[in-house]
Amino acid sequence: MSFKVLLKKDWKQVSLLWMLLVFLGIVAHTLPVWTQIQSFDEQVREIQENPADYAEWYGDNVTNPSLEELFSPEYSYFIGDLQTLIPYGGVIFLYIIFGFLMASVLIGSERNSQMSDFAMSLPFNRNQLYISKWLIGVSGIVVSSLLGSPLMLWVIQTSRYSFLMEGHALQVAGLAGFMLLTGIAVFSLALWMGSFGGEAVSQVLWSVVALLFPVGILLLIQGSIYSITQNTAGVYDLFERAMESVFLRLISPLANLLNVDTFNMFTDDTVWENFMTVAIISSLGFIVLSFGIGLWTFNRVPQENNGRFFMFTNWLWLVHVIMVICFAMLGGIVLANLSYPTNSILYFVGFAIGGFLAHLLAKRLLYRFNLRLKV
Amino acid sequence: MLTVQQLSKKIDRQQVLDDIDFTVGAGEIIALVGRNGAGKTTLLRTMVGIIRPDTGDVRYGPSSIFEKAELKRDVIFVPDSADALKHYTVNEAAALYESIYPTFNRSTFRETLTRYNIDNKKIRQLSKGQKAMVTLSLAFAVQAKYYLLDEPTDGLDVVAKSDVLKLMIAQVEVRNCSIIVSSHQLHELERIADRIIMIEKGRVKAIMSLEEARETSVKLQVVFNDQVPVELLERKDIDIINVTGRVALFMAKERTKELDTFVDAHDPMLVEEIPMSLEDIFRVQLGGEASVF
Repeated sequence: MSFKVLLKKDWKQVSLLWMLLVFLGIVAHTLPVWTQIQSFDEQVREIQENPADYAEWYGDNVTNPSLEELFSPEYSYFIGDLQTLIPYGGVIFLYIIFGFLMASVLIGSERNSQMSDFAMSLPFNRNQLYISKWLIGVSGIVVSSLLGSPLMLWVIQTSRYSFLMEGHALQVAGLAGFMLLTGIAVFSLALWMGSFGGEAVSQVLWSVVALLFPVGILLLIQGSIYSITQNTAGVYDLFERAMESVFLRLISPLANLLNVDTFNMFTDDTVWENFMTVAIISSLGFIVLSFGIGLWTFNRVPQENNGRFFMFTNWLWLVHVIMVICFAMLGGIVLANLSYPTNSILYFVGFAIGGFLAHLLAKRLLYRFNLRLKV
Repeated sequence: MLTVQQLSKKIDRQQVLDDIDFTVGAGEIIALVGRNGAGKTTLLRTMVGIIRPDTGDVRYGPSSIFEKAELKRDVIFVPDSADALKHYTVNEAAALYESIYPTFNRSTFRETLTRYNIDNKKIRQLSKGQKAMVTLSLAFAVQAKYYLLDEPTDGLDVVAKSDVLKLMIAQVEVRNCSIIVSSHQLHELERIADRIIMIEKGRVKAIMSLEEARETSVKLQVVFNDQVPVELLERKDIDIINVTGRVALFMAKERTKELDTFVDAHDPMLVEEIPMSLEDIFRVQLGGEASVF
């Protein structure tokens, strides 16, 4: 029996989103480049028509600056550089949105309907079901990148600003590869969340939480320590070190993204080397990790808990505790920062209020919003 | 042979299946009956691997269905609605089944569609009866050995119900496949079932043929000389269906000599044994009320 059958079934569910992702991926890779080129053109025309207005930055000797001179790092006026041409943020944002959507259609929506029961009753094991979903989602991101990235390079290369790419083709390819890996990492994360989020909305919520959680918990701890001790320097240093740690970058695609210095990667070899080693390997590591854990949980999840916010009902207490602690810290930070300097008593009051409200929310979300089972 | 071995499952700390144990032979139609919430759907979903049991196993031949997913080519589950395929057209659904199950017989499927005048539309656009016919025809066209049908006639009109039942009987006659069917339509099941599995609170209460069930319980209409004796009305082991003047209609879970002696002792004018329907057996064995059927 062919594995292609499952791909065909999953394709039926996700084809519209898949094609939209490929189309929007091409647009996201190219349109911002084109508009940035228009913006460069306008600025260049303005400077070339009124060089005297820009003498302060270019110097009196540059009376009729050439295009290359206008972009030269020797001068302090900044029109832009190669990294401003590459639509890094837009593409990754698109991958995050579509990664979440595709994963929730592939697993969450199945759980909402009887499709999940149908799939589980077919002569395939759960590993095959999960791998098929992963492959179909990843293929959308890969195709979108394989079409979008070369088109992006082509638009730059055929423009009058192609000189910005000279000697940097490898870096641009590396950045395109990183965008692709981040897209796959986010999709793998969202699919993993679907392995225990009982329906589409829960899956999306879990995906958002999982994307933010490692960085978010660090921010909450940092804010809490600061609110209680008012020790800015020590806390900031601790936070910086934790944020830049390889461990955090490995377990959080968001932390990995925040650590990529696209501004200096084309000019600073150390940044480039760090990018090629830590950033790329962390992305690959996260993909392997999230795929593996997702496969494991998908295999073990109690299917009878479809429709519930969290399907491993034996572990609801842990989710409850984490929710209460996080919201308590948030409440504490918000209240403590109402006064200047921060007030530790207000922190504890906010902690108690936030914790109590989170406890009520958790009770409703985790224990009451459960579908009735048909037995 | 499909064997269900000591199957137990707890959901939300409630014992939904409790030590369920039975075997399904070739060419059998087994009716799975029980009150709402008794565990019928969970049992069927567990038998096909959708739900994993806490303990026990479902074996097809020597192998466990939970370990060898490919065994499910011969064990087909048909849920009570066609929701899973609602975005497919009839032909797309057939193509999907054809690619999943190498034994899928498209001409058999087409024949059924033609016979019941079903067009190639999106499944969600079909009537409830047509949806049921399509899902069943898809399943039967696979030519599997075992079918687990969850309330296949639920919500269908009289004609559609009759069509579904005919289709089921034809499959068993032609291919000697086995069908386990859960339904509340007891009067229909009694026409087709070889055996009945009664489930109560997740446990198998009884497995028997309809004849055996009829021999176990008894339904009597007794006309007394005087008023219906109060002692009869107060007996805990009988289910009074109707009392009109001197006539009492009641069922007893078990046919006992003591009951016969009790009735004879009140010198009745007439004692008539009424044939028990499956609905009567269900009511007397499982204590169901008419409203739950």
